[in-house]
Amino acid sequence: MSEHKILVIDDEPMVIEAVRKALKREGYEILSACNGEEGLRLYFEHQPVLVILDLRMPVMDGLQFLDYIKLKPLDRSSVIVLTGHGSDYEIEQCFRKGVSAFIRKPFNIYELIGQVRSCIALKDMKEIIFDLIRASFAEAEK
Amino acid sequence: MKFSTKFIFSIVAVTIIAAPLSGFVVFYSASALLRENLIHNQLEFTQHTMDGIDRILYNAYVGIQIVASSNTIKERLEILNKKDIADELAARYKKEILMRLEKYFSFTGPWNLLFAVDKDGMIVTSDTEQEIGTRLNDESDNKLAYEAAMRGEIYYSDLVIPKSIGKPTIIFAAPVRNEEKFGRPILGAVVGYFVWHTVLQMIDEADPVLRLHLFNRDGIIIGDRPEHRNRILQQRLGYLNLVKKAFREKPSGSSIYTDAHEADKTSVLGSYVLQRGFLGYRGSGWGLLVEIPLDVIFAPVHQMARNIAIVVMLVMGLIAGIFNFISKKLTAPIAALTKTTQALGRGDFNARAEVTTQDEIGVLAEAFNKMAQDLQKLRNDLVSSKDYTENIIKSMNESLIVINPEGDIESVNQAATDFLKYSKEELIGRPVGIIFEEEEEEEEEEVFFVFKGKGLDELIQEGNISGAETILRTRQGGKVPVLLSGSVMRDENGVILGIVCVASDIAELKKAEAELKQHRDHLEDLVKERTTALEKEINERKNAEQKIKIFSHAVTGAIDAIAIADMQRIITYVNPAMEELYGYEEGEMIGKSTAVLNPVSERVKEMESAMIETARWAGEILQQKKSGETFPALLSLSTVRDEKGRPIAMMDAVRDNTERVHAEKELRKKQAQLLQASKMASLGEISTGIAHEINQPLTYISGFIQTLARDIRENLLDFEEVKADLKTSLRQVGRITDIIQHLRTFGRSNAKLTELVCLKTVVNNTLLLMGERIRLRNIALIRNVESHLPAVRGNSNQLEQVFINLLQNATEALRNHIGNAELRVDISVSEDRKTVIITITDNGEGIEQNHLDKIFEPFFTTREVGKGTGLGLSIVYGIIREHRGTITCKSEKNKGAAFTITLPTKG
Repeated sequence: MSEHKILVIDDEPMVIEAVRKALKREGYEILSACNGEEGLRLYFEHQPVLVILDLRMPVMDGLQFLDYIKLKPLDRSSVIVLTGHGSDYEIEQCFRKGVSAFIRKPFNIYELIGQVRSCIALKDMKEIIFDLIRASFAEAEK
Repeated sequence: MKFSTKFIFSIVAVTIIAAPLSGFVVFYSASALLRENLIHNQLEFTQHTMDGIDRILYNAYVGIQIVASSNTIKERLEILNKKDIADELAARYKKEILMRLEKYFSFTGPWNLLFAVDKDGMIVTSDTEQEIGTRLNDESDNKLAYEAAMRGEIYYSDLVIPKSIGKPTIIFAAPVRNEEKFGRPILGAVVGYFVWHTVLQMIDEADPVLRLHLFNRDGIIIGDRPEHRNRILQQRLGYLNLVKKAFREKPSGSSIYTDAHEADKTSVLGSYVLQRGFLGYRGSGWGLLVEIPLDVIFAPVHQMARNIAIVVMLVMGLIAGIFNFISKKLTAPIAALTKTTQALGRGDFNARAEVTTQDEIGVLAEAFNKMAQDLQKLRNDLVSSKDYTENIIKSMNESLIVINPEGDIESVNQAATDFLKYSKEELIGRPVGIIFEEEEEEEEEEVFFVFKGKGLDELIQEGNISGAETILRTRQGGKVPVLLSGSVMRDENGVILGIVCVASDIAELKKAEAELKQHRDHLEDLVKERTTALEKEINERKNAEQKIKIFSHAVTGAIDAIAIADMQRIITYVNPAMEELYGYEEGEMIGKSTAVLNPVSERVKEMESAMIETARWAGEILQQKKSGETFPALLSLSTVRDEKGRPIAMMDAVRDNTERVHAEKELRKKQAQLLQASKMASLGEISTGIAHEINQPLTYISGFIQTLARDIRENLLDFEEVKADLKTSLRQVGRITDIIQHLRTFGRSNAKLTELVCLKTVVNNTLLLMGERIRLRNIALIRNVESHLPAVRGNSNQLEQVFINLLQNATEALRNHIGNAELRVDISVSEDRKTVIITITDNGEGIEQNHLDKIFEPFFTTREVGKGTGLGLSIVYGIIREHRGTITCKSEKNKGAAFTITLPTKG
């Protein structure tokens, strides 16, 4: 399996550093952006399998970012929100926009690693099932 | 004949002769060159064609030698010469020779026929079967060839027609030798019939207009154009002698003659060359004659003649045109001068010759114009002196009437007709009686004697009258008063010529007299009015005395204590309120110095100096009662002056201020409480930002610690990495500590106003709490703090509150701003370094103009109920005032707001 790309979007470099450290053993390629706009560019350029997203950022905040990418269940990517606050309203909005998990800062590294792994595993599984379906279609056509 | 015609005529004459002459000279020299060139080209072509023929024949000459040197032919011919071989073998050898010949046949020649002959003159083999075995002797042409070959020569014939092929050819023959034996014995020969058509083809390919004739040394035609092929070897060239004559002299040449040979008998140019051969091939002494009709070859010469003729025509036309133009230019001034002279002759003095040229004609024209101008001026002077007199009369305002000796009107001016409303025609020739008043008999004797017709005698005796008042009659019969002057005109013999009268209108004068009378009447009325006014004034004085009485009662009964002292500060009057306030008995204060009332001598000095400078003083001051008890009072001192402005007394007005001082103290206490409350409110509002700010470093630290724990547990510790991470973690802890430390000092209630405050630190601390909030709202914060800013004396905590409140308001004003939201904090020091100026500017929604004067009032807010306390700016105002500074606000709706604060520096 190819090396998975994870995009971390946070205006605080220290938070990106902390996420990088937490995930250093997992063998992912970590990309980072300091606001939603830059994040959006990297998102479309690299198509990461997972985005770890902060909500409050200058220029373009997390919710705006989610509005731009319009997550759908069969997308290649999933999103985990990692934020310091987050009202009930924000949590609801995030999940409504297709976010997979909501983690608060300061985060527990095991929780983060676990959520990251399960998100990626889900997407990998989706790929495998798709391959199987495609193969069976091909056979049926023969 | 006109000058211009003469000029053009001579020029055209010259052109008509010169242009064709030069054209002819050009044509003559050029055509000679061209002809020579064409003839030369023709000769070169002939030479070239002859060389081509030589080369073709040289190829055959070499070809036959190549065939003769074939080893196969040599060997087989040597064996066949022995005759004693078997027929079978001979047939095989002959066959082999034939194969060899066939091979050569294709790339030498080209040949009509190629065959080998043995040393006895027998045809050994040939590419035409039937010839084999026949002897060569039969045909003389062949025999010559064979014999020459047997002599060891390489043979070629002139053009012949051998019987065997029946068409013209050249016979080539070469000996076959045994090269290996001594003396190179000749074994036989090879003979080839050259294809003559190859040469003819070359002649055919030449330009069809050319006539080519190839002939041999006897003058018999051997090559010609396709239409004359039948001449080959049948005809001699008709004019060979003519050609031959030239041949004797040189191997090539050209000449022009009439071609008698051809039917059309045209003149042609003939070029001829003799055969020169090529390398080993020496040729047979042939000649080539190429003819071309003269009209064809010299076509370029005719073309040139035409071109030159066209150019000459054009040049002539152009020259004629140019000279026509020049001559017009030259003669135009003369024509203009002539025209002007004629005009002047007819009497048109305005006429001028319009000649601008600089030459002699120009000078002549100028002199002529000067003369015309002088003439015109002379004439104008004559005309204008008459006009001048007429104008004077016309422009007179007075009416002028001239009467002839018969008493009729002879002449009147414009003023007279306007004044009397007659037209000129209605007056002239009529008796004077129609305009002069008839009633003069009773009224004015002077007028009577002047104008009563026969009364003219008296006027004549007097000679003139001046300024007599009379009345004239207008056309409508109206009477107008006039001043009349008159004078009699006589000739040198004293005979009367007429009377000149001038009348001026005096209606205005009469009117003025009437006005004067009216004015006099008015003056009398005025005197009456004045008398009434004086009576009224006396009444007013009475009222004023009454008023003074009222004032006096007012002072006595006033609530404020009032005292009047003389200039030596001795009290001369006090009102009852004064005595009551200071605790004195009635009348006890009179005669005392005001000094007993003022316990603080420094303030008295300040007061006195102010009195000297401005003659008044007002302020808060401590006063002393009779009992020695002091109390705060509001005192106003003023100087009383007499009507001439000299100071005569001083008036003190005193009000007890004890109550107000007390109230102010109370207020200050309340304000401090309010400030504390507002601080807490701000903290609440900005706590989200602070929490976010603390959370970031905390996230790193917590992540680091957990990772570290995991690494230790799994025994995967990288010490270098941990060391670096520890440093980063410690920095994060520092960030949190800063914020917490600051929150603690900010929250403290601290009323001291005496510390030295660095405004830069205050701004930094404010941004520690507010920075995150501003950044997250996408607001660009521009900080411009002057370096070496002097400290201010006050309370840093309170000043920070000022910044927090103002920045919060600005952030709020930028809430709905789209793009380019900007917030500026500028801090600078005034030039004299006595004041620090702080400006906080935003480009947000601004403040309504009618709200600007209310913003510093407590509880004024434009926000929704429950969103703002309305205290922020009033607290700012209070703090700044306590720091002895000022705060002002400028704002425009939708453009932003700017708050300017000034604070005195510590000095």
